Amino acid sequence: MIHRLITLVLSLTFAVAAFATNPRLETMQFFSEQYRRMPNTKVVITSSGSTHRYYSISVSNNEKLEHAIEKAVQNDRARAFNVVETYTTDRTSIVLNIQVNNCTVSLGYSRDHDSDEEDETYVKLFVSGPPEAFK
Amino acid sequence: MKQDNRLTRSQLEQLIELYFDARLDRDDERRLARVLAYTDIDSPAIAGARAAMGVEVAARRNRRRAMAAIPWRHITAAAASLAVLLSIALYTLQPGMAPDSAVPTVYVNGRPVTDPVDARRVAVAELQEINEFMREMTIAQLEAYSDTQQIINSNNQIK
Repeated sequence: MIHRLITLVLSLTFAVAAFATNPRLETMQFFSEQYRRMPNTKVVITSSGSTHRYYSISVSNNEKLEHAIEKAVQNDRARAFNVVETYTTDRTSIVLNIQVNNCTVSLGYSRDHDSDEEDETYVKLFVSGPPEAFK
Repeated sequence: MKQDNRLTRSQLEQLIELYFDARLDRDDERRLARVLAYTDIDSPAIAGARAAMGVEVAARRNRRRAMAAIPWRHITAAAASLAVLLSIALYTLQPGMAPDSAVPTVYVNGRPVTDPVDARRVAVAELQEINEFMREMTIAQLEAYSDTQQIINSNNQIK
């Protein structure tokens, strides 16, 4: 009985540890078919040689999606080992470096605040890293 | 516009004049705001531009003054961390990156771009934009590092 309990606890521990070290980035959801088909968006998925893949989405005037992206970036931020943020009068910019599948992934986020056209909004998110990071 | 903050007072004031005449593009306005946030040069025109460009710039300067009161040992430790982070941020730059021969996946306004030439053109522009963004962020981090280094040096001189 005790052996079974120890085995169960160890299995759970390893499962949680494995999940904690290699979960998919929350922001990756925005490159799926669902978001590619949305109006007021631009999605680009490309690669540079065999060394890097790039995923980007630009969104304009879609408050709901922009908030969803911002929330996902903040959640991914908790996993970042390096964070660079800049704030100016018209732009918020964030770069995160995150370990995924033992690879360094860069996540960039920017939100433009157009002071002339208060209703105009523009959010851009990109994720780049080696192909192994996205398997 | 020059990328760094080693502009003379008259150069800065010329840029400010262009800013008030609405003759700077948005990128140059952003760069000017950044230079104004960090430069030690001061004049009524510069103060006026800082005020006109918003509270973020003023807040950043206030934070800088507050940092001067922090014990130098703490600042040294922070600078060491920054130096490490700086090397990481620079690592993320991918100079000269360009899409490979594989056709990129591109959707604009919910519709796929099926023409390979058009898709590649959009992807090239996208990668250039990402590269520029990362370059700007690295410059911002370098400026923050340079500022911290200046504070360390001045604190060391006081000691």
